[in-house]
This record gives sequence, structure tokens and C-alpha cells, in this order.
Amino acid sequence: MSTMSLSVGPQHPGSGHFRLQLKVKGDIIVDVVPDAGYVHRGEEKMCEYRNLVQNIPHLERPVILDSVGVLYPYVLACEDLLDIEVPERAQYLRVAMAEINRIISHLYWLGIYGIFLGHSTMFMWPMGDREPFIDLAQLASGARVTFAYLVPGGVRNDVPDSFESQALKVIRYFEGRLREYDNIFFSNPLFLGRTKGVGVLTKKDAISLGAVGPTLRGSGIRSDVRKTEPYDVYDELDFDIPVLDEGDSYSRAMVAFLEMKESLKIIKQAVEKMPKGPVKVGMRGQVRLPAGESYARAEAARGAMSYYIVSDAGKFPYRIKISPPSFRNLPTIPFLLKGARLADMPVIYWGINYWPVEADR
Amino acid sequence: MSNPVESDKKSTDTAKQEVPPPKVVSTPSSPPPAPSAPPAPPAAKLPCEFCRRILDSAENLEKHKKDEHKADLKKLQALHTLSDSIVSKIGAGSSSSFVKPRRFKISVPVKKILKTALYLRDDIGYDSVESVSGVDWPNDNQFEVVYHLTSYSIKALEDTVLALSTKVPRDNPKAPSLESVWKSSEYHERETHEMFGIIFKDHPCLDLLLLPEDWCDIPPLRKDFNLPRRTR
Repeated sequence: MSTMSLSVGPQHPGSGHFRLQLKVKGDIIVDVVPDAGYVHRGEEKMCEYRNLVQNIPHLERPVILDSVGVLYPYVLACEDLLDIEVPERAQYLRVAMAEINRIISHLYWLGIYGIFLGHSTMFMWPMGDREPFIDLAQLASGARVTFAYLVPGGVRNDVPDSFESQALKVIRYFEGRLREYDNIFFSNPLFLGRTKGVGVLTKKDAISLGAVGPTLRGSGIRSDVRKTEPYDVYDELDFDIPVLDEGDSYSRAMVAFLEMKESLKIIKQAVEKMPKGPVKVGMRGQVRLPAGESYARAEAARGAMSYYIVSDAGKFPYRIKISPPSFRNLPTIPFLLKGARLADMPVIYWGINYWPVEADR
Repeated sequence: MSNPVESDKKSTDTAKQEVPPPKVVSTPSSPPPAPSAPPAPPAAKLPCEFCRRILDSAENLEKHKKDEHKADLKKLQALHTLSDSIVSKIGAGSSSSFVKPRRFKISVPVKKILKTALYLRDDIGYDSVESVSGVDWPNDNQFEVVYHLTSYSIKALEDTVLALSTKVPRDNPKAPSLESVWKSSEYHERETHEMFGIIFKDHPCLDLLLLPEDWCDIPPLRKDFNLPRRTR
């Protein structure tokens, strides 16, 4: 049987701004060349012409769904260079916002995953349930999508008094919804049939390909920056890291689903434990980074994200390197698609939760 | 340095575990029942800014926090030992750039980078590359390539990122690819190639990835690619 070349994307609704050049034999994929870069914006170059506060709004653009997650390692790296201690209230606020954002991001992914498995309800529900969390984030930051909430030295502003009660209300609502998700989707034979045993990534391959996030934890590796290298107040909060051993699309999706439950636990504890006090360190006249370099990691929604900042004590950072989780997960896509059936392509591709804009920067 | 009780316990463990891996050179002086010999080097090494800072801040603390600081210090000293042992193993030309809590950086000449990588993977246990960064230093006429390494299989190294750095001349930027050592570095090296023009020898594919395929300018992250002048 002869092979046929197939170009999936960049206009295909299922791929995002990303192209996969496939070679198929019948309906078996025999070769995959990922073609990224359609939305490369040169974020790293832009950073070299802006000071550390001006960098905040454009750095969160690649990942507008997870804008706190993408800024977290940036502010940690800046604070490491500036050698400042963040007020405790700000640390709790950051953690709460990061987890709210993780849920927002996971729900968006779940919606798309649902529709590509042919489950329209799972498209509508998560999209609707993002709303209360977006409202909650809006209450804190004033913005609905790109919050620009984290700044080096703390958070941009304090939350109103109603934040705690509102957060607890949303958590109660969403806990009930998660049970319904489980009934209608995660225990659904349709979901199980489409994902179990599809796109198996072994432990060894996950490490060697450099996978992160749910892709890594779905392959049985217990690694989460929030636990391995706890930043801010994560070490004072009680939560688990969901890990599944099978390494297939099912376990990757389940890890993300279970993570939402853990995020709810974290938000609840964070808003309850949050002390009163200042929310940022005054940075007046201190916008220059001291000479040196720092490397910070944080767990964004899609996995571990890191920033490498080199400074020469100039007005702007000398070099900022972003290592986003999607870019680190990119090698797993061709690896898993080779040998898979074409019909399983959306399941595998979306199971990885690859976000082209984040990878391209 | 506000390490809580939980990770404190872990860090004491890891500090203990971390000493064995560097099974090179100073074997006679490193056995545990020699309390007189090991404390001497740290005392001499105290110029390390971070060790000193931990010691200074420990003086006016309550009892339980003191233990925490002791664990931090112990861990940092174990990191010093690890760093020194790697440097002495690699030999001439390599140097330790800095050691700070959870991070350390080692610079090696480009000729030895492949050997160093193999040693770090097989003997120390760094099994994954988190990021590969190019840094342009036009004043020194050099590019720096920094590999940030992490380990999933060795628990003690989980929170310790090693920055492995090498420098290549700006007018002939060639370095061996570490893709054969760490598969995870493949796409990062490819990106560094297109953004800085560094040629990684034996890399499976150095086609443009993020840049448009018809890009015919100098690599954009070089310092002589002046963004404001071009966008004016």
C-alpha cells in the first residue's frame, strides 16, 4: 500500500496554530514531522528591550489561559536576583490565583478534549464552569483573562473582602460539578473506549523525551515542582500529586481531572489561612536587576515552566530564556503518533495538551 | 530561607544521600566517622556568600529554626562537595561558576562538553534537560550555551538544577550536540541554533523550527540584531 502525505493544520480547527505533516499508510500514521512556529512572537527578544515590570503584560500573552502560571517563574526568578522576601499575604494570594488559573486552563482543555472525542456535553459544561472561576479572578485582579496579577515583590493589588466567601461558594459549586463530570464523561464507556491504551508513553520514554506536567505524571513519575521544590507557601498546604502509571491518554486525562480536585483543596486552604498584611514590596527606584543570573521553576497548568534570567545590571534584562511546558512536551507528539491510527490523532494530540502559542513564544 | 519542617526533613535526608555519589578523589577524607577532617574544608570555604548568609541569620533564631538552618547549610555544603568533585573529574579548563541553594553552575571547555555530559548522566544521575539557552557576549566575542539539567530518577537531585555551560567563539560557533546524551535537548538545541546560529554537530535536524522557513537575516537573538532600530 502506498503512503499518503497529509497536512494537519495550521488552519485545522483541531490543531491550533500548529501543523503536523503526517505520512499515512491506510489509516496508520507512519511518519510525523511537527511544524511549530506559526505564532512565534519573539517574546525573549522583546524582554531585552523592556524593564522587569514592563515585561509582565507581554510575557503572559503566550499563555492567556494560564497567565498566572506563566508569570510565576518569572517573578520568582526576578525576586531571586533582587533578593527580596515576599509578604506572606501576597504568597497566599499568588498560590490561590495560580490554582484558580490552573482550573480555568484545565477546563478549557477539557472542553476541547471532550468535543474531539465526540462528546458535545463535555464541551459545553467546562466552558460554562470556567465562568465562576473567571469571575473570581476578575474580583481579585480586575481582568477576566490576562490578569497581570503577579509582580516581582508580591501581587499587584489586594483582593476585596468578599473574595474569601466568593471563593468558598465557587469551590462548593464546582465540587458538585466534578462529580457530575465523573458520571457523564470520565466513567463513560465512550471516553474509556477512546482513550484506554491509546498513545502509551512509558516511564523511560517520558523522562528521555523530557515530558512535563500531566503527561509526565500520567506515565507514573511523581514529579511536580510544587512538591519537589516548593515555592511560596505550597509547602504549608496539604495536597496530593495525582500520579497514574499506565501512561496512556486515559491516565493523562485523569491526572488533569484529579488535579482540579487538588487545586480546589489548595484554594480553600489558601483563602482560609491567608493572613492580613501588605501584598507587595515597594519597588520604587529598584527596577534594575542586579548583575547575575537566576533560574526559577514553577508548575504551570501544563507542567513545569522555567525562566533563565541573565542580568548585567543594566536597565533591561540581558537575556531571558523561557522554557515552557508545551515546548518541552513537543517531542512526545511525533513519538506517540508514529504507529497510531489516524482516528486516534486528536485523542493523543489533545491528551498531551500542547498549546502552540506557549511553545512558540 | 524559610524552609518548613516537611521539606526540612527531606533536605536532611537528601544531604546525607548526596554525599556518596561523588565517588571520586577525596575518598580518604570523606568517610562519615571523621568529624575532624570534613568540618575544616567548609570553614575554609565559608567565603561562599550563601553559606555565610545562612550562618549569620542562624545566630538570632529560635531552637527549631536553627535545626532548619543547619540542614540548609549541610545541603549547601554537600552541593559544594558535589560541584568540586565534578570539576576535579572533568579536569583542566572546567570551573565552578557558582553554588547557591538548589542551583549550581559548571563551565567546561567545548571540547569536553560531551564527556562531561556522559559523566553527569551516567555517574551523577542527571537524566533530563529542562532548557538550553544561548547567551550572546559580543564584547568577549563568544556565545555561551547553558544546559539546565534536572533529575527524575535521583531523588536527592530533584530540586537541584545544574547549569552546564560552555562557550564557543562567535565567529565559528560550533559545539557538539548533546542530543545523543539527553534526547530531551533535541528541540531546545534546534531553537538555540536558529536563534543564535550555533551549529550543533551531529544533531539529527537543524531546520528552522520557530522562524519562518524563508528567514534570511542574521539569527534574531544575537545582540547585533537591534530590535528598536529595525522596527522604527
